[in-house]
Amino acid sequence: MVQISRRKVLHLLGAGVATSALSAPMYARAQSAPYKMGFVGALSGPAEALGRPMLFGTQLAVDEINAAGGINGRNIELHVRDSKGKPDTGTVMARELVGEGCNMLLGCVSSSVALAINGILKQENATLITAAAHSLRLTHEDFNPHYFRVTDNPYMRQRAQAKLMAELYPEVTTWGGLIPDHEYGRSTWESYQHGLNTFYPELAGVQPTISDPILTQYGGSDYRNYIASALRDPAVGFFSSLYGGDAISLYQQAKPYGFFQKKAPFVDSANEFIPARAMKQELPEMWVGSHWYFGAFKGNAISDQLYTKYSEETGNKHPDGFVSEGHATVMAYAGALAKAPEGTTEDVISALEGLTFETATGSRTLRAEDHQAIKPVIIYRLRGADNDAGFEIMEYRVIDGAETIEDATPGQPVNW
Amino acid sequence: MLADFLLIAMNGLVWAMAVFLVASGLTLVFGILHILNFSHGGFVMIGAYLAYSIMNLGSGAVGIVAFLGLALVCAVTVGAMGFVIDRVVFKRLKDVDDSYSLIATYAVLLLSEGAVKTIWGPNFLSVSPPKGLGGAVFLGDFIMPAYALFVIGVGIAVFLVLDFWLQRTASGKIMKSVALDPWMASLLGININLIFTVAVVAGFALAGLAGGVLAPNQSLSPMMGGTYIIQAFGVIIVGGIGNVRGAFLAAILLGLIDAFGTVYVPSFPGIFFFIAVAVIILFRPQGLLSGVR
Amino acid sequence: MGNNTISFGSKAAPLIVLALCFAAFATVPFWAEKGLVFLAGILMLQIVFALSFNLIFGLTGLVSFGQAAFFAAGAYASAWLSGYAPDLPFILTLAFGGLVGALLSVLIGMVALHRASGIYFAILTLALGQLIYTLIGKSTALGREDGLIGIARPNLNFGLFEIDLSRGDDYYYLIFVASAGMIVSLWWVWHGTLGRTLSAIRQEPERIRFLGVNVRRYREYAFVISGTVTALAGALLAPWSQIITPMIAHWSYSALPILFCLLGGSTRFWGPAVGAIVFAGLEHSTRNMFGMAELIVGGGLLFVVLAMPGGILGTIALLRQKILPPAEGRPSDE
Repeated sequence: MVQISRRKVLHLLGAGVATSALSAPMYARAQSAPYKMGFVGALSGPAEALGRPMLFGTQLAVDEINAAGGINGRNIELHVRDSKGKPDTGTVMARELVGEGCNMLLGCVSSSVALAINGILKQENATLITAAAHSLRLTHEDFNPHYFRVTDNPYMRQRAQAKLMAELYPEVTTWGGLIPDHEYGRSTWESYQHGLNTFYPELAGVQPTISDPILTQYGGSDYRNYIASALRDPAVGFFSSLYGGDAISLYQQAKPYGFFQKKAPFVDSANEFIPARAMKQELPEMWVGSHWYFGAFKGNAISDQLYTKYSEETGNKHPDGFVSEGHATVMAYAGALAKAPEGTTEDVISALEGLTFETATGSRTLRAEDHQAIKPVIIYRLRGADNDAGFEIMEYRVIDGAETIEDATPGQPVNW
Repeated sequence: MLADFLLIAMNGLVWAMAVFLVASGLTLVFGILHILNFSHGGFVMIGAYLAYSIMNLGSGAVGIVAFLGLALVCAVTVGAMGFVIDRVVFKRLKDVDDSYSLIATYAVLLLSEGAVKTIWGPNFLSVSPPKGLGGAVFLGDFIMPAYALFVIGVGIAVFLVLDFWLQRTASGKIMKSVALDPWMASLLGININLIFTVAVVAGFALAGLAGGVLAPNQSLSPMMGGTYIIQAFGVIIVGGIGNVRGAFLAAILLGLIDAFGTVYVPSFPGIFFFIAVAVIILFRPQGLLSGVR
Repeated sequence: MGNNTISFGSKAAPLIVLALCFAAFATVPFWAEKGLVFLAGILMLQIVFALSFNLIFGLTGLVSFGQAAFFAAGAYASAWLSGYAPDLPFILTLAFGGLVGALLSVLIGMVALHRASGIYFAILTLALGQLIYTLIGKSTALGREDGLIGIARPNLNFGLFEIDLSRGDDYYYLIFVASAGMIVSLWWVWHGTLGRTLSAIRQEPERIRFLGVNVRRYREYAFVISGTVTALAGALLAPWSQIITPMIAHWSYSALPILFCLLGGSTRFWGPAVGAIVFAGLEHSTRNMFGMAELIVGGGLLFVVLAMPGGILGTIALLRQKILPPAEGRPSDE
């Protein structure tokens, strides 16, 4: 089942890429040349499972726009490159895409790749819109006008999660964390901790007691030592920002210790449905952060369309938010191009600043000052279940990003 | 306090036995053929993916006996792959420099990663522990997952069987004599080519077995092969390369150092293993047990 | 040219190929698009990386599996200094990178060459290299796991005039000139007394030892030269890629020069360069076959290793030996 549907995706993606490449001369013959966009994301390596759905959403948006006659009568031509999730490969590919005339870049799964490409945007006179990279530095310390983020960031997301916890579990006032020993791990933790310290006094009327986070090694096979440390920790509520395979290994190994009975509520920063699809019935109950949950946006035409297309073509009934974010990057450019038909980098930047555009999670606005999108944060509560999928969404919350967003301080650290 | 101490020690042992399962086949192949097989981790991964597929043929979770049977199926299948790899690759590496075999087997590791991605896809997968091993064993304050104890048990069992074979049986003694001096062994009428093949097939079968047994230990992804191989390299080198007893001791030693280091010096996760390997090799360049098998 | 290769047939052919490569690298910015220019810059540094590594590998047969540590040491040291003291002349930050690499290679060389040999040497250098990789990933001054970002391309101040290397392809040409310089120095070492002594040691260790030559001392010299040149290549990389991450210290990065050497042929000076170019070509041409990269690169490597045990150059020499009888040679020879 799974294998076949996956191959279908590969086939579909391969076909999509091939058509856009082959049909390039045809576009060129048309009166106006196409707008060139360059996707650079992890299509191999550890983050491949995130980059693939992102490319799917991106490709779908391009196909839809082209089928509807393009923007200003001009089609979009999508060039695709694999960053392998590595910063140096990512910059090579970005430079290559610019060389092919793609001054509008999009994609990026990991922050390190986004930060690397961010560093060369000015010099290459290109723009980048990322669909997952979460580092706060991109819109703060390392801000540069050529970069935009259509997704939320740790400040918004983790503070929204902390706020929800303060609302739902006012009695749980001791918190700990398991985080990867990375910039991402630290900034998610800093944001979550800040959220706890803000919202517990405000909503629960108590000052929370917060333990030092437990730092974990990236890409390990054994997390039992960290689990032992977490079990020794007096904190009751626990937050984790491990991702992908590491998160699954952690949950798998923590479960038999009764970890999820002792440490509840458990909050997962951003793993979408990835652990749920892998672990199925074995998935412990947890609150998980997400970019987009189709069930929360029924009636939104983009969301419904994305869900139908994705589940039909992949057989996966629980698409991850990377699909919608890939889609949103194209929608942002499309919105900007409608205002700036020339498509030069300068024009695109000023059109993107303050732009409001439609996405699978409703309309989003790119803040003009620091290029951070104001979008809702989605958090759902999952657990393993005896159904076809192997898990169920017990409930979900959509929290307005404007409520938890930070002050825009481009070029400066976050103003905590 | 005591429960904590015990927990950390047991965690170290689980890691040790998991890595020993991977390292045993690696050290066996090196001991006989002097090929440091980079692709070994790749075949452990293939074993784990095979276990995933076999389990999903049925209703998912299986009993302990069925699980062991399944791991044996993985061992036999991967052993058969070893036979092919021996014919196609290893046989041609005998006359070339050691470092060439490092690159040839690195290429095989890449191929195994590519094959796993083509067959099973890039997504993360997960395997449930066998029925009856999903829970934990309680001893006062002390808790130990049953599956973790199972891994320790299988690790010790594999060590005892291997050790018995090499030390006590005629075929094992022949293996040892070939390892020490292939030329002399061939003069004595031993078919050394057959011995080489047996060693490779046994080494790969051990990789398959490790994959099957360890499938529920962590998430499965095409990157899994690389994760285990470096740890296994450290273990066999500290143990004295080619030495099964050494690998067993080294795995336990490194597992305990890593476990206590990680828990008591939490700001440097993942660093203790490499410090320990470097320091031990500095003081005992030939490993803990060299020469003695 | 090589002391261990007997040239059959044309002596001019290798020189022509070399000249063509030189010309190709010299003119890349004129005919290639930006991505390729960038890649060519990286490739030149990887060639230096592999050639300097082969000083140890090709001449002594020792496999250092931690060579990336020197590359990273050079890159991080110079990038850190240029961030810490941006007004310092570029030549000094470069030299600082080389110096740190030299010190590190003295340290590791003393320890590793003293304690271990053969496969133990490989794993000991691997463990030490991984230790350095982990330490870089944990030090805040070096940007931890995320590395150093936005490394500025320098100005070259010659007093009377200035060259701003951040513009256009100027920095590419700095890499070109510097790489050429380093390659010439390495060639000189390989073919000089040190190189000859080491290859003699490799061929007849007992006899050389008997002659009273301090084998370890010579190996240490080679190790330090190799580490220093590798570090300089790393120091040159930092402003080119403008971001460096701990990945350049990872063991998989140490595997690259080994790969290049074996691919091209480690017993010949130019072998690693051929290997690096062929590998880059292979990787670049398969980069858009998403999901197939491992199969193609793995299959290609396996084929080369199994079918060409002497590397590409070794096989070419062998083929020429077979095709062209030594007495005749090609008509156009002299």
